[in-house]
Amino acid sequence: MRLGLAFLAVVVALALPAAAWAHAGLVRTVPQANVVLDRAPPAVRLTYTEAVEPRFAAISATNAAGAQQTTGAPRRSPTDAKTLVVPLDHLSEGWYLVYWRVISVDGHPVRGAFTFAVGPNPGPQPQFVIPSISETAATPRLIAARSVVFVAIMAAIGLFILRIATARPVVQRVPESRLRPLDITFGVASLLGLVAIPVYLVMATAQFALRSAFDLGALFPLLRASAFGRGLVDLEIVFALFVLAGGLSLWIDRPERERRSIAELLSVTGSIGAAAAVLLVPGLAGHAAQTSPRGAMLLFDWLHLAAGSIWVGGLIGLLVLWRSFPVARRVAGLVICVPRFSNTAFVSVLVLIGSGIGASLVHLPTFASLWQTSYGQALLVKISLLCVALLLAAVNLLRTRPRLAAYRERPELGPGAAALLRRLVGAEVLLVVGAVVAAAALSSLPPPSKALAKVGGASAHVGPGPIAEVVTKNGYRVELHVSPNRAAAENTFSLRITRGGQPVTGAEVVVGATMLDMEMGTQSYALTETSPGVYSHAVPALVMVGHWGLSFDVTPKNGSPFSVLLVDRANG
Amino acid sequence: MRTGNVALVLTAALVALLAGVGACIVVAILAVDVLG
Repeated sequence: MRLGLAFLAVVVALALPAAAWAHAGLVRTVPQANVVLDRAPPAVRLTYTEAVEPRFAAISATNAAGAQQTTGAPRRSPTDAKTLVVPLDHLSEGWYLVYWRVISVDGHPVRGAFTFAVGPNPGPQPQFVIPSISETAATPRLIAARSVVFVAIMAAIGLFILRIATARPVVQRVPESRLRPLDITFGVASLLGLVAIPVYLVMATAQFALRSAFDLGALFPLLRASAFGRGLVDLEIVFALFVLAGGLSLWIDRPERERRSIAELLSVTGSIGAAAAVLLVPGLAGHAAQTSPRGAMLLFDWLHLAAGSIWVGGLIGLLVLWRSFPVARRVAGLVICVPRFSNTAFVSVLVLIGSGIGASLVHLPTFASLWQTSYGQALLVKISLLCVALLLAAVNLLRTRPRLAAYRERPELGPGAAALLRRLVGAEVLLVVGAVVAAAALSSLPPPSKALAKVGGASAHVGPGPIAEVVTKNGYRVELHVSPNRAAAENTFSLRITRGGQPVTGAEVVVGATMLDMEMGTQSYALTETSPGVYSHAVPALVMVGHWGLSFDVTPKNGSPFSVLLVDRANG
Repeated sequence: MRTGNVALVLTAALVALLAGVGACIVVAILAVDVLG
């Protein structure tokens, strides 16, 4: 009954769209940004779009001299899981800078800062030194560790499938051939994966918690504190179960008998089930589960990983087989293995391309984001490497395979074809491993914001620095001003709207700020008319350094509504 | 094959099958946690 309910819950969740905000966005602060308070606040309270883990959060409050004013670590509010609270010392009159950093559900760090003052006479706002408010999870060390995890897992699964399905008949048909080298390679890849996953988990947790990776005593309690960490712990458990099932399957398997026993079939079923489960975990712990439509994205991710595993593991296995066959029997062994693997690899590559295109269409809001964003650039590198690998695979399919097939009639073709196969497969392995490294970088980067799709209709690209732009739309002349146009500071948005030289009064004006470098949702503020035809509002809108889409939606009292979109680059 | 060997092989096969089922259950729990 409970399993049935859980299954139903998953099906319903897959059918529902993912949360609109995939990254933790700050939605409310107490005290409010840039406000002058009559009395010192006892604490700083920050409310986010999702429940962030306080043990990975850093919140500081410093005075103009840079002295720390917090008296404890951030804690979750007992009344609201999305609110973090950090206690403050008794603050004296003056300005204070609050700087925050949290980890999103999918493991991406997000930072921001704002100021407030304690009155009645705090004086002019000082020039605070704001710590860097751009941070990435795609550091070279983390990408390297993530790549090892991916390559080891995919190789282990691909090697298992090659050994249990593709290469098995060789033992019956080619005398003196053995599959033990394949078993050993599977064992090495499995061991590498089992070691690499916890190493990567510790390194990532250390980065999130801003601690040393060797401070294991402090890191250990944090390993399952984030959703990302829980996913990796589950990956280790599921992969270990796959290694156990796969190892037992290989131990039970008697390849010299053509028909499999009941025990062999049972163990292979368990192993394939475990392999399928392993390949679902990265999607559940990454972008796929946070991107709508979640069911399709998880399926694309699973198919992509399964096809990639069969390809990369199969190629490594072919190299191992090439070396392990006795020299006199090498060509005879390859004649059996290569056509069988070619068929599987061909289908895998088709699935790989199809699922990759499907996922890219959802993740990339515009074609231009392929080269304009870091995510798109990593994807281009991956596609390029795979294209070259596909060229080599095509040569194998069109030249090496027919020569090996003609070996019985024309034995002189065999050795040349085998040598060509080894060189091409060796190069293919390097290229596909390179593509997996690019995929590791890709999955460490936030996908571009869907708001980028609107950028094509932008009236202008502005910033960094104060904005003064004049746009004419629907017969209205709009003077736009944003000052100082800096992240983590109070920005004044101002519009002067005229038509035929006359000020347009009584209009409704709403400004929206959307982060374009990652999904963070949109903050909207209504502007008030401060003098005839002039609408302005001062708000702490741009919480991060980067590209922002600033939309100004104007609804004139007696006219059709219109919008002006600016693509802004805000610095800290 | 001796009876002892048969029992050992069958036990190993069942352990492998259970490992597969266990892996699927762990992933199902993770899916409920993430998607639920």
